Amino acid sequence: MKRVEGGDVAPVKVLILALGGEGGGVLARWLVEAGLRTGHVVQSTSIPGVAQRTGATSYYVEWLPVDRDRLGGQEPVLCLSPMAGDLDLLVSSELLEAARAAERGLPDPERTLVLASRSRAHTVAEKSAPADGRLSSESLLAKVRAAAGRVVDFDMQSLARDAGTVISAVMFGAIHASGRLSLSRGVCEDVIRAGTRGVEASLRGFELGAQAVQEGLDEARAASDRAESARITEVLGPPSTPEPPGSVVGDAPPTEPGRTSGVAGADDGRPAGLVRMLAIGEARLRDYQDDAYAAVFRDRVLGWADVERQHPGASPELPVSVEAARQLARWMAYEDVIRVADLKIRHQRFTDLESQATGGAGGVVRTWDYLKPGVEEIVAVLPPAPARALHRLAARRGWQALGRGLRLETTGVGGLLAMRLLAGMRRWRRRGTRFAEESALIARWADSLTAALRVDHDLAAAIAQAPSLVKGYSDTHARGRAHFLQVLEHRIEGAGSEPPAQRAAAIRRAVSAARADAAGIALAGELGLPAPEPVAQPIRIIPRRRPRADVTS
Amino acid sequence: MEVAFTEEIESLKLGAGEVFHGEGILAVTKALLQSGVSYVGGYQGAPVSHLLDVMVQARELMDTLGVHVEACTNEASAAAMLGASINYPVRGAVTWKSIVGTNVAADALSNLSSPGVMGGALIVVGEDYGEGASVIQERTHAYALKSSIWLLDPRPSLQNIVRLVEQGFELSEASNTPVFLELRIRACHVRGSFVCRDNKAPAISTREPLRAPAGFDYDRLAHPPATFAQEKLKADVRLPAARRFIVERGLNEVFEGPRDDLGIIVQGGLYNNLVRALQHLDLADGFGRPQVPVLCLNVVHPLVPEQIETFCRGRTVLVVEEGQPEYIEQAVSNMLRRASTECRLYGKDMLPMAGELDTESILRGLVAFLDAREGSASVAGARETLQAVQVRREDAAKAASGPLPPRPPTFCVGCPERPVFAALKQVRESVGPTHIAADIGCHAFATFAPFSMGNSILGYGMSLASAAGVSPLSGARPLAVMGDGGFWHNGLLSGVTSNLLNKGDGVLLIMKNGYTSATGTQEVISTPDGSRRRRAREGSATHTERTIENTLRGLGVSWLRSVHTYRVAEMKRTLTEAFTDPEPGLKVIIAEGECQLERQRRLRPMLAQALSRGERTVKTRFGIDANVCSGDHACIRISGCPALGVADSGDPLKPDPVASVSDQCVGCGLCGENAHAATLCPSFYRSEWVRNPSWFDRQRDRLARWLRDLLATGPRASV
Repeated sequence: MKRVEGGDVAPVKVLILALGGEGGGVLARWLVEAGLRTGHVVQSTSIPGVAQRTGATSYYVEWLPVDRDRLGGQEPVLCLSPMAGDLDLLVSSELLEAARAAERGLPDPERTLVLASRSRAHTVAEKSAPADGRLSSESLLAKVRAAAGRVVDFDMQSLARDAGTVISAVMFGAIHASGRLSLSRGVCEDVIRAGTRGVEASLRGFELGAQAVQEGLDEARAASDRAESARITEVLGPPSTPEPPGSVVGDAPPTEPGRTSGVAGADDGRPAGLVRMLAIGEARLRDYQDDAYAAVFRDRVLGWADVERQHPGASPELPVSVEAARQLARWMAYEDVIRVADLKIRHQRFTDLESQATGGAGGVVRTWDYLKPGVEEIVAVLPPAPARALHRLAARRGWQALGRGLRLETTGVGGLLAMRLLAGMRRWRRRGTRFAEESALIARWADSLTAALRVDHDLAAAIAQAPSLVKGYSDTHARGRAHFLQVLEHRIEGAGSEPPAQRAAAIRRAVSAARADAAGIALAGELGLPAPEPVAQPIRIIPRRRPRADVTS
Repeated sequence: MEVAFTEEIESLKLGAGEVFHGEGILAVTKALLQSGVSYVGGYQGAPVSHLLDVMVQARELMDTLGVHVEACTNEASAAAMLGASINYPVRGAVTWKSIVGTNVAADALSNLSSPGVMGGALIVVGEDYGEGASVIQERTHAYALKSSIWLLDPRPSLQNIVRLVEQGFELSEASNTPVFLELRIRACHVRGSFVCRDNKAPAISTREPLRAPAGFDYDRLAHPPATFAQEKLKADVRLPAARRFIVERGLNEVFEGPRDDLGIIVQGGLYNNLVRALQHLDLADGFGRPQVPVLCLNVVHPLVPEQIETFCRGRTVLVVEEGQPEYIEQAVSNMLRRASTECRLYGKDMLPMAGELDTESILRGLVAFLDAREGSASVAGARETLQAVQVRREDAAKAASGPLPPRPPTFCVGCPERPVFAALKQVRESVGPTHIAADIGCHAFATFAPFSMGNSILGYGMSLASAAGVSPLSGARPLAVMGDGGFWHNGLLSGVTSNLLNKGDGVLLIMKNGYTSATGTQEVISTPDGSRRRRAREGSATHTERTIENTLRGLGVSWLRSVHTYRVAEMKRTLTEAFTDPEPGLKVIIAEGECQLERQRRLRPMLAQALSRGERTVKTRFGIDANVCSGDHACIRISGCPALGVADSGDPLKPDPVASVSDQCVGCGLCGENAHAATLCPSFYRSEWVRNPSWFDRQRDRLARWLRDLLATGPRASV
């Protein structure tokens, strides 16, 4: 890479991908400064554009690792933009951007070393999806790995947070440790020290980034040694002692029950997944209401489990009952104003708020909550008689919400007392209209599920996940509930004599149609119902008087 | 502007023999001072904003040299400023973003180039073409041709750029013609170095003013009958003079190579990409010494016929030119034809007509060119490399389920313009769809998700004017969005006065954030002054400045409302009123809220100082209770704030991610306003961290803690 034959020179080429506001400009300046101090020829350029506004940006550096003095006054020609495949090092502060680079064919599979942060900054498209629109990090990483020969991936963002600095410092350390540039550690640190702000934090970030890449490269080397020995093994037969397994990537701590391998009968021969879900659900509902409420949950789930187990060919892990338990627990712990108030004044919440705001640095923390309960939500927790009265009053007066939104200081006396009063209404929750409505609907669903479990497990699985439509507050909740009712009536309860496989598919189609389109038109189409009245989309012809023409005489 | 360019200003003071290290556009700035420029003006815009920003702040240095610096209110006023060089032997330079700025300046440019100049006049344009461009893909070249203004396109090495700035002034004086110097975006931002010369104090300056005004000379007016003579002068005198200067002073560079049957003519700005492409074919070394001779045009207009002929004679030549139409190729072809020079000429038949000529496109063109000329064996290696890249791209595209989502720029965290579009999105649900005439400025980010609003963008400050034909033909009243930057740049005259003259209808929404923020928060006439800004601290200072309101009232706008952007409910009411008011006439809503970037830049040092003095400070941010959030993300769909994202719920019962507020949050308050205005879920909270609390803070906190201990629900917390 240095001086090549015939007195020729070739630079090392580095592309840095970052997002606006991540300090990419600072990093490029550090690199140029380090190059100058090393006595080499370095050039950087960038497309910052409207960088502070969080779009994707890129910085391109060419570094000629030859002492300027040895060039005899000749100027090497350095390029201002990267060419696909002609890169030695590609550094990305974000995983999707690394994948995008792979898609553009930027890294060369043999030559380019890719240092990619595993951290994600979700795009608007991903985060505005109603359910989960996030791209899988695994598939993004796979894309990067497929395109590049060597990839060192680690979470640069969390290292930056640990160091109390910006991601650019971590990237600088990473570039240093990659060994692709003749960047001595001392020079890098001097360059950082020459800055004015946050020097110590930057140095910490540099160190963490350097370490991560060093470890990644060591590991890769070890892995390639292992691969080498695996090839040898293939030829020579297995070695006498077994190889230790590769790095453990388990996602659950070993103490948690139910993740080990499934069928072990820790609790009356029940599969571990079910035991875990039972425990979570019961705890949630005890917290939500009381022991009796939790017992209702438990009985219902165990009832399903018994039926599911009896079916010939049942999976020993009872997956339908586990999913149904999850949906049931969530549904039974529906969010009403009582629940919200209760959650807002938890001991744990106050502790969390304080540590989150201060980071342990002392001072006083005050918190205001934004609430705008609708009339429906107040009615929901009242018993039938007063509920009807309030309903009538609201209809007469045209109330929709309780006037203006409330901003309650939960850390203040008034706010705390108000929340406590609301949360205390929990003991009367069972008398409320919503409790009756939800219980009735849950019972209908539960009965259908039990019946289906006797017939076909695929059908039962489809029914088990249908309540995922019921969630949220006010309008969102009302809409979801209405959609669920339609699915329940037309596809779950009212289905004719079709084979179960077809019924299951129809239910799944209906549920995803309801998810895809909040207005419910897709769902209506799926169910063969008349399309709902579209939400009134006013087309207003503003009556505009024509201005009087000026009459000249 | 709260950013300080201390370091940059220091580098402008370097003397002869010292080495400058820095960005391309700053090198140009330094070169202007080395050229003895008397006055500098311009209008901000990427990628040349830096030139003017630094000069405006370097007032002391400019005063010492006697250089006048003017931050013009648009490119037309900047171009007109060059009029000083018509009558006086003074050098002047102006700068803007092209093509858009040149469009605005066109009138003055025509009338400048017709009489011609006495002192050197240089127009530094940021040629915003290709990757990262924020404007339409057109070339400044067309203006150079039609107005007979010479066009420099320097090879992007700082030493060469600086040389061309200096020689550009001489060229301008030798041919009495203004000169464009175009720099592409990456050349403006390239960090390199050059050896300085001393700055030159101009002979006529703010320190050494003119003794007397110029005498009357009708021939210096762009007015008939002088214009007929001026047109002749352009062709008969100035053009030959320029060509002579270009040849004598060696402005263009020929890089000789052993292959005397081939040649390449390239625009200077593309030279480095060409050399890299040649290297991939083993036709050049690391210092750019080519096998195939290269004529590098640092001056792309005018071309010198003799130079072109000499280079092309007996060769097969490829013209490497970016964009369309292929002005240079046509000119070269014409010159060769006239001289009956024997030369096979290639150009756009080998290279793409549209798009930036990056290294890969040039390499593809060279491969095609050499293949046609020498046969495919000569380019087999490069062709394989290019094919491998293509295959990798196709494989990657196949591997994905769909295209990766784009990541366009968006409003900053805490931007005061985001709430306006959140309100507008909600209003459109009740009032119905409206035509939205968008404009240039940060508010144009509303054309991206999650707002996706805007039917047309006709230019900077043109939104209201572009709705003039829509309004009378529509049932619903159209909305024109304009920033205060756009308002002063052009919108006041092109939009408002035209609307008033014609008794037009429509709604004009002016984003009054106090600066031209998208170009780097430069000041406008309605920017609140420094003392007001300091008093406002972290708050918005814009309401203290009423120039826009007073101007509109003075013009006779009667329906005028000012609304703070963060009052979403009030903004919704005001917008609804403007859309539905039965009275005809222009409705102006001024959406007031200072640019958050400036507020944060002002606040951060203030906060740090207050903390170090042990004073009480408050830091506000928003948060979301994960266990209350339902995971519907409606809040994100009416905000799109970068600090508002999604995260795992941490609850095994809720598999979908919940909304979450990151550390970037500056506590602007939009989340709370939206939670109320759009009746979102109750999971939002605002938290204030009071450092160095007062006695009163501490007492209240004690009381609250005692009560909390008594009343809070759930198990006791573990820390």
